[in-house]
Amino acid sequence: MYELKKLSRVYPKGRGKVAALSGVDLEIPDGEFITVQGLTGHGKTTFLLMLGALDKPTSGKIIFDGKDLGAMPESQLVDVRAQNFGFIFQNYNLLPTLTAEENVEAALVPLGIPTAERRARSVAALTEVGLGDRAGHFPSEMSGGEQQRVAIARALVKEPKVILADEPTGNLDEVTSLEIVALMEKLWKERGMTLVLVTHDTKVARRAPRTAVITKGKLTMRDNRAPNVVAQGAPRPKGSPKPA
Amino acid sequence: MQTEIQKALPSVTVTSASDEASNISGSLSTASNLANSLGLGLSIAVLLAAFVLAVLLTIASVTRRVREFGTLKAIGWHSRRIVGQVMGETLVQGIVGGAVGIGLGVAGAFLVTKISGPLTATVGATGLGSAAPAGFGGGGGFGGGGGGGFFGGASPGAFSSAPAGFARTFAASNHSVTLHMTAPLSLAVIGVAVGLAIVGAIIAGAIGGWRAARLQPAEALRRVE
Repeated sequence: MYELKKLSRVYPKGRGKVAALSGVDLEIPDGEFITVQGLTGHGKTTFLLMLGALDKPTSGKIIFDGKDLGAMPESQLVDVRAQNFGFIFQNYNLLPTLTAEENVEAALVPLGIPTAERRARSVAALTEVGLGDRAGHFPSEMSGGEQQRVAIARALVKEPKVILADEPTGNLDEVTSLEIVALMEKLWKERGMTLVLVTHDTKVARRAPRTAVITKGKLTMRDNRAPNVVAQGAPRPKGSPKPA
Repeated sequence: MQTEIQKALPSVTVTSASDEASNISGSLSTASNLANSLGLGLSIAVLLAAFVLAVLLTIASVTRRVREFGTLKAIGWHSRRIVGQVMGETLVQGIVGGAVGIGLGVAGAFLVTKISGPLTATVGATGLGSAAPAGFGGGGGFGGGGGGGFFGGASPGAFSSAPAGFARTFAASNHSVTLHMTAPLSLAVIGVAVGLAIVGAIIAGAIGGWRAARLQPAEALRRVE
């Protein structure tokens, strides 16, 4: 579970400063699927990086499972990331010199899992995203949709508590985008993990029970089951789908 | 004879052939030392340049792969593992590069030994003027000595033959000295080459890995490729 309390992130820019996030309060219960929307440069990616312990707040707190991520040293944050978070990026961020299976396996390396088990789990994860027969292929031999599926497999293989996806459909055509989002929703329901998905696409955003709308660093929550209701940090609405 | 001439002509400076030969061989010895020092200096300069180049190329590679390292950090790789990855890559490159370099060096040494013709210096009977070519003939050996090791074996031999050549020049009428350029190889030379390649790779890998480890994951992921 996430608890964000007066979370702010300020970046130096030239002689001045830019507030990428400003006083954000939010609770994300375990197993929730939320989407994040906002204009380019308004703080969506910073928000996601904070949730993923990849960046630290300038002020405020970001508490994950009772631990203040902002107060932890990098050496501990690395372990938190390795065990709890799966990342999916817009540009896939696969290692070009590794095969699909090796890319997926890379997520298990920090966990100290034996090689044979790593391979078996990687192949299983690739099979789950429909790429069991492409395990030996390099990213350059795959389409954008297939590369994103590999990235999803990489994020899922370690069975994280949270999946953080930064515009995962941003580089894909409409049909492939829908396939990818449907796959992520399916996996979210099956596995019961928390899913935070940044998107520009309102159709995609509305598939989640709640959407965090970030405007100039300020966050408001939109209830997609009752679109006219806006409640900051509101708990999950009744009737929203719970993961199986 | 020198003493008798000096007595007969006290106002004239009389120099014997052995004195001249001694003067010339002394100059050649100085030239030899100079060439050897120059060769050693050049070798060190080339070695340093190679190390610096390896470090710069590794840093450039790390900079190009900044998103890759950011991704690895995002999925939980410790900095020390990333440093190990970079060092491992550069070590393999260093070993492969060293092996290729040794192969090229052995081939070059073989070609030098096979192709290069003998250097012949002919010393005439007319004294100092004709003795000069003998010195330059030996000089071919010195040049090789400065080349960094392959010709090292040729130099001392070439040089040691020069004074003898001069001595005979002034004692006899004509004398030819023939020098064969060789490029001797030894396991020690090859071992040093392998060692330097590995040391260079470790230095480059350590510096490149250190830079990769210092990257902040958020900053690395934001970089546009």
